[in-house]
Amino acid sequence: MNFTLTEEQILFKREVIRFAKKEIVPRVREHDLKAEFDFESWRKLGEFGLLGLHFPEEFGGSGADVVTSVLAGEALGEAGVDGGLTLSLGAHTYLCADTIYSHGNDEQKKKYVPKLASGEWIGCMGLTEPGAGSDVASLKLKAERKDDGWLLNGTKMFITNGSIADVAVIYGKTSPEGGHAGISAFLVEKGTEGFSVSRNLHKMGVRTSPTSELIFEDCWIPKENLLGFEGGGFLMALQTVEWDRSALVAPFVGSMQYLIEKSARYATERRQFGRPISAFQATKHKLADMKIFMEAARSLVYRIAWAKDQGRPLNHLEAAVAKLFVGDWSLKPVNDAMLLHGGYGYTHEYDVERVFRDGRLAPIGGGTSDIQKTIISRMM
Amino acid sequence: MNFELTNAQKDFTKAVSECFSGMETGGLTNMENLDAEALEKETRRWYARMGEAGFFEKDAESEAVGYVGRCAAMMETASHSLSLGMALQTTRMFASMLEKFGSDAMRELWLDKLHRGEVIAALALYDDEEQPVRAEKTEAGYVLSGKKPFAVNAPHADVFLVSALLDDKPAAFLMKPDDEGFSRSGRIATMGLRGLSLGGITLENAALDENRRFPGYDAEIFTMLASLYDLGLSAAGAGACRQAVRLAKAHAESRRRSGKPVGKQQEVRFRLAEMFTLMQTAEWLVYRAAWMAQTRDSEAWTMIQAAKVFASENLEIVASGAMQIMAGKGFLSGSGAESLYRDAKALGIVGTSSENGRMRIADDLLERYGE
Repeated sequence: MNFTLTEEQILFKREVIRFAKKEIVPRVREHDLKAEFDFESWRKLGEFGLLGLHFPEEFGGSGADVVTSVLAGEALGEAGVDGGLTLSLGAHTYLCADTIYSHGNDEQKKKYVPKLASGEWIGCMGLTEPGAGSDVASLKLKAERKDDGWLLNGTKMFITNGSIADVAVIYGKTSPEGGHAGISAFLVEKGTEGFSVSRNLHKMGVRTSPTSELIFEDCWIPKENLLGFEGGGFLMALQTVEWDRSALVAPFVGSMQYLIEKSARYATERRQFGRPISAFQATKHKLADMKIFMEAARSLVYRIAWAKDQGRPLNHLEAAVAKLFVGDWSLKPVNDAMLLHGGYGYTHEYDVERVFRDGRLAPIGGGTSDIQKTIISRMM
Repeated sequence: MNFELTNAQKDFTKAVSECFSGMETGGLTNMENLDAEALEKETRRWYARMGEAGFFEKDAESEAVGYVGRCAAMMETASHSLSLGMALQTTRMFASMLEKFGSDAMRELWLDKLHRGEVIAALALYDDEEQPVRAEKTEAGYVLSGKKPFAVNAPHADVFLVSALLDDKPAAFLMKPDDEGFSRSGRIATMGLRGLSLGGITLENAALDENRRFPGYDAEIFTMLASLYDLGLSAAGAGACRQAVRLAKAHAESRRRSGKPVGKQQEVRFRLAEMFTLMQTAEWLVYRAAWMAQTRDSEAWTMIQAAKVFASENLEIVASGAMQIMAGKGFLSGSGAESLYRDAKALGIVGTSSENGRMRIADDLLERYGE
């Protein structure tokens, strides 16, 4: 075993933190309170190369490995970037662009991936529906062959980046009776007739990331927009799980480090009963619990990333363990950070409540904790 | 980065694992019902077996195994018996101290026997509040007096490392049960870890030659020794979690209610999933802490405390989960779950307690990030 990061990875992470603190974090509070996507930060993320880090250079990336991609996500959280922006990045880069890169034909890859990697275009992925989430087989969005193309009818729900995306990877049923094998993936561009955003959802946290309901009403797309092969959609969706359990949860791990540093500073400055609150055991124990959670979570997330770098098929059991732990066990230490900050922690001024709200998504998004427990108990 | 054990680490763990081949989960539970004499005999039998497997092997000869490999082997051992794991760990720590900080004479006399598993050792570090052990320099050597109320293996150990204050500075001495002025208690009755021989020692003007003092021992080494002991305990905790998960899973698969295994009930499945998650998380945290200690990372001691707190506290949760899933059967003595439930309580207490561990972690964080 060897858990040491390379010198290059350490320096890269440090550089991402420096960049994010200077270029992105100063605008986080404003956009969070307005619940607005920060296009300026997005542009800067693209310029820095963080929107397509792992793609080869010919597709606008840097050819980074998965561990490095995870470190980038962790660094953004550690710097204090909000969970909304990192969620948008995750949905854009890993759920949309990577699916196109991994399963698209040459034309599709050339057309979309460089634009997505640079941030010129924004991507999203539409799998969940009002009546289908983790139970993928019960998807209702219908895709029928028509006029040398496909006719899409249905609704997608909880789609990150839905209202701002230039291109969407949309999963639908090409064979209603086919179960998992009847699911296919399609590329749908903004402005396509019959494709519209019905509304953006108001959320407790990750507010800078638009979450939308998408409507497809007799939305016709050419046959070239089928991604991969007909019936191959379920496997594509499944493969995004690796990213869901590593790069997408990495910012949560980084956020905990952000809270640790913030809490340690606050506990040293804040005085009560004639001494800094850091002198009280209860304060120290809260700080320690944050650190324990963070290191435990980091171990699990790195493991998934490392396994993907080795080209191993996804171990669903290990992935579910990581997702369940980060999701469920993060709630207490985040709550502790808020308690430690007392009344100030409840205000927008200290940013702790923003992390608290953002972090509440961890046990919900990308498969709830109950789904993870179902997977673990089936496979253990 | 590499999350796989190296070949040397795999071989080492396999050799240790093979010592338990054919044994049922929790098969060593019977050790806790043995009287003192029988327990010593059984412990020595296991020492010999583990000695053959290389468990006590010199650190210098097993560099490729390192702390990571040792933790892997400890997890395997504790997955069968937490008591045995702790007994073995204590002797291994003693051997390590001797290798690194003992005198040539000490090494010559004890090391080979320790490596072969022929000797049981104890670390007498924890002092009595009223009568801490103090050493005085004399012309012939040293005289030690005081009490150590709790020391693993003390009732049947062949050799002891006894810490003492010498001119108000930490010092350590090698002692034997037949040393003049040395006496020890029998086994102390405990809630759990009954397969472990725990006892105390009393020193009354115990006179020792100059060559009985560990020459390199100081406060820094004491901290290192305590931390590495905590690392071993955290690995033991993660290993014991495996035992709890195995017991609960086996029961959930075999026990039928309402025409189906209880493991089909969602409540049981979800509880198993949580136990499994905590077990795996503890394992990886322990491995990372071990790696950081092995590579002398500046955060290593903090990580060891994090691993110790996490593994010990979650062992309690996992052991409790096993008993709940096994219900009435788990509550019966001899079920494995019942003794594990009692054993689990000890890990948050022995070594650095969870409370002290958290304080150390926080002190480190405040030093790094507090202003």
